[in-house]
Amino acid sequence: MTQQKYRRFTPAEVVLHALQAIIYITLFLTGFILLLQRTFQIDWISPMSLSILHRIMGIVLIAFVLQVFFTSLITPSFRILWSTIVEALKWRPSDIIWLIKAPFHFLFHRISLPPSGKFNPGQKLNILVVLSTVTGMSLSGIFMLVVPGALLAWYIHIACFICGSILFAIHLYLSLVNPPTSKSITGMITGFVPLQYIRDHHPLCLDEPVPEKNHVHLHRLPAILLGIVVIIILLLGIYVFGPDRFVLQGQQWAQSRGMLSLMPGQLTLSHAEVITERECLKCHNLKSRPASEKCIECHEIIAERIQDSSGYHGKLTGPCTDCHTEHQGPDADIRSLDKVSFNHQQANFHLSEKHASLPCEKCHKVQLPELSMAKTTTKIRYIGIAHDTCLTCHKNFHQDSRTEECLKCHISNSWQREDLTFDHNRDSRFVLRGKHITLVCEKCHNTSSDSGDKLFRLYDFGMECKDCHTDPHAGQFEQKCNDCHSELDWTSPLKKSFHTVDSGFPLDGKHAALTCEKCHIPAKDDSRLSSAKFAGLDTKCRSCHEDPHNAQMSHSCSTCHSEQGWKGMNLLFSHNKHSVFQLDSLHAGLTCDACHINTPQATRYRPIEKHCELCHNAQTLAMQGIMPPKQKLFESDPHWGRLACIDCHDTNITHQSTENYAARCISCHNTLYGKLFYDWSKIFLEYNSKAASLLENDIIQQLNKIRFHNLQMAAPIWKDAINNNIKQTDSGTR
Amino acid sequence: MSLEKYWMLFVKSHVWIAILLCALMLIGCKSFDYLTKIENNFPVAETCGDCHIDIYKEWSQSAHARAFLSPDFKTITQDGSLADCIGCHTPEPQLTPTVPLPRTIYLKDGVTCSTCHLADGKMLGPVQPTGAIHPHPIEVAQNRFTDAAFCGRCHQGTYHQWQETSIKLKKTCQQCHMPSIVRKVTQSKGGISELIVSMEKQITLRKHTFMIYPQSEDQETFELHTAIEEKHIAVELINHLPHSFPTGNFGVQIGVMLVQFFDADNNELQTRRYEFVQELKTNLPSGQSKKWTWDMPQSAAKMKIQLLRHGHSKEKQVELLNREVPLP
Repeated sequence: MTQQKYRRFTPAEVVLHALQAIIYITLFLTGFILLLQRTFQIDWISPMSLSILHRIMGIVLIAFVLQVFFTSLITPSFRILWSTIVEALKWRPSDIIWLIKAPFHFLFHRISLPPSGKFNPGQKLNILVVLSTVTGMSLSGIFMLVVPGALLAWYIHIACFICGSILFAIHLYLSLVNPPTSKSITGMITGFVPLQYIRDHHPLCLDEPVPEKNHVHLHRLPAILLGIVVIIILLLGIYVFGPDRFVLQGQQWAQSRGMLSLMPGQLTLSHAEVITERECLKCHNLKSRPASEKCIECHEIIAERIQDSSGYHGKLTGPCTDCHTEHQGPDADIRSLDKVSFNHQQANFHLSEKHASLPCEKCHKVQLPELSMAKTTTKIRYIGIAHDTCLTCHKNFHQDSRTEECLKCHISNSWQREDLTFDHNRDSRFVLRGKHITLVCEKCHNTSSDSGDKLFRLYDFGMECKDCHTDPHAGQFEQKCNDCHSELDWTSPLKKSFHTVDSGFPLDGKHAALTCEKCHIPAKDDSRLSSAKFAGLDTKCRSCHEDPHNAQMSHSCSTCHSEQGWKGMNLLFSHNKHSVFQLDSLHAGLTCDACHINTPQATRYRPIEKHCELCHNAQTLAMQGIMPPKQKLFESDPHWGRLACIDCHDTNITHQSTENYAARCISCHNTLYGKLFYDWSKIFLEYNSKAASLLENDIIQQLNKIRFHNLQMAAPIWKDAINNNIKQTDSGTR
Repeated sequence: MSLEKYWMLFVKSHVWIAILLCALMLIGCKSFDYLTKIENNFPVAETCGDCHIDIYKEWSQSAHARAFLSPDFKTITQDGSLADCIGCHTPEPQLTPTVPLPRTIYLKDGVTCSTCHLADGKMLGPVQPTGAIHPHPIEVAQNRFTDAAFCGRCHQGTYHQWQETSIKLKKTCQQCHMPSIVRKVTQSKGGISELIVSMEKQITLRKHTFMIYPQSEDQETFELHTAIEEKHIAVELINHLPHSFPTGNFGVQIGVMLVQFFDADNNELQTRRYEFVQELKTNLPSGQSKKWTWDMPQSAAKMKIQLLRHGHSKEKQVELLNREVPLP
């Protein structure tokens, strides 16, 4: 018999209902299994995967809701959803009566319900509860994501879960099991239901007159059967789980007032001993993350550290929960200490290198029970151990009660001499001077104790020279060492005090720079200077110096020479006074060997011809940027061809000063060029001093001829010469 | 519903997603804070050049970019270690009435963008920005950038000469050495930057070439008169620059007047060379003229006059004037 059909739901509603069903069922199942596993401590499906799936579906739900909302604003076919909500909000007094009567109608056939429209009040209630549950779940879910550990979000989520689950169960029962109403399931599959169904259950939708009584047969049997099946499954479940365990878990759950279901894992043992399951708020807050203030109420040492900004914790910012995660089970050590990567220098005790190479257990021992609030745990104590008595680990090598405070002299990084904070001159009665400083300690301080151990005696030593040194002068000077010698060196102060004042030969000028052995020759069989003859030597020049002038001059060396030096400004020789050739200003600036040439016998001083071939080739070539012999490698100097030599060089004066040159620069350019001249003069001086030990003298002379004649050429050539020669000497071709 | 209507429905319902994504993208775009911070970091020219592409190209070939890297400068100042020089060659962005303070970082950029354009965490410029999006704070300081005194902080000698110039000739430094050009302040490299740059308008800006330009039709920098008599030639050169020729207190600037005489077959008969050098007081001050009178060489058919300017190296010279005068 073909029944007449009534369109109950539009295709849009059907599709959306199906999508919602998938989302809600997934969320319900994942959430419920998570809750069950936590409550009964079951390890069935990985909580991580359930949680991730639950969160993803939650986001999908929110996106889905927003999607539907925006689409409904635009398209007419979704407007039906708005009219559904409007319907659900229309409540009349007869709806309340319907709700009161409905449970009795379920039990007693006779009680009839007022007629309903498209949705009966139960369905309207369901719609409203679903709306509020979805909102509540979504908001509390986001709250949980954003503020982990806030308990209020969990309370709301669980409350919504309970409401939603009850109505979900009723919804499923009425649509799938209860025969009178399960006929309407086609409404959510095809969109059509039998017309008779509408007449019976939603008469106000139709234009027909409403019958006084409805003729719905009530089937109580399915409900009873279903109830029995559910109870059997539950009993089976308890049997499989273990009745004793079930009772125990139940007791624990009751003790915790249900909080056991919320915990993602058990507390670590030391916390579990002090905090019971009910006292979540000892660490958690309702609306915010677990606050550090609650942690440091018990962990007083940490609190001190944070207040003083000392130690490892004193330097950290952020809440405790950033590093310490609880609820990992009773055996977990939530201190998350990685012994390999932990930087001890951040803690209060600075580990010197030596201490750092020790394994942690050398100093960090197991915690004594009386020091902890949790009585039964014995973990290793890291923070708050004493660290200022060396002798607990180290032996006292000085074996002297005057040396108990190690840190007076030693540092924690090493025992070595260089690292001692002990200063012999400041802290002992014997002042170390000169060579005494360079000695190793063991030279004076090293004895064995009575038992044969190595002992480092510090006190009670003799302090006269003869206590350690023998007299090499065989009594020439009696034993008054300090008259001539000091601890600096046996030889160093001698010339200054000894020779000039106490001997008959004053050491002037260059003589003062000589080593003693030059004149006081040591005895052949004994190479030490102290064995030489000191008194009674000849003091004439010729007794030490040969005449290099090959008898060209008079015998009296001191007419021209002094001990200050043979040459240069030490030469007392005045060309104009002592020779027949008068030097003019320019010639006076020349070195002697420009005119006085070397011969095999001696430098030729007299007589010589007037050779005045002065070639300043190198300077003029440099100005043109030409390196001898003829390579033009550089740009000409800008002054070349524009200035004459005498514009810079004054031939009427000797030793033209730097100031004079600089003033000439400034007269055409500006003051900064004068400064540039000074700067470069200094640079050339530095180059010269560097080159003195690296380059041959004639190369240095050539380089010095360039200088300001072509600055752009001089700079790279000097650099090149010094750098290249450094390379040469390194390879051993000195 | 038809397929088209379904499609429109789909699009319309997803508009909000698109809006959200766009907002996220724009928020997520990198912050441009670093462009105006001078602390440990400092916007280098290359960073500015990521958006101001044309200006960067011009600047990077200019003498300002070479202020520190120039080999002549490096040699003379021992790699920039002589302190008196680096205040102008690697200046700090801080505005000073006279010589700027030297910087300590990114020296190789020389006189860089930030030197003139960065002040107090804002980028200064002479014109109002026309784009809607400013990646960095912008302040307009037209007076600063159009004033010759701004350049004169470093180029003191030239600025002093400029101050003494007659008002008739007194173009500012920027007018000749940074010629006008109509373009946008930034250029795009494609992608999102194309979108941002397209919002800007093309306005009159200045090229950052900082160059010496040869004589052109719209800039009469030198006036050259030649008077030919029977046996003599008189040549007069008048300097219409607002500063002397050549100018500059540091480095090498040589102005050269090269006069070549050719015969009818283009063989060179004679060359005369006159140098203008400021340090030798032979430079040509602004508004003044220099006259030469020479004997005309026999069989001379053509006279070529060139006015050149070169620095330390003769090879890099700029030709400022080139004229050929036929001779009777």
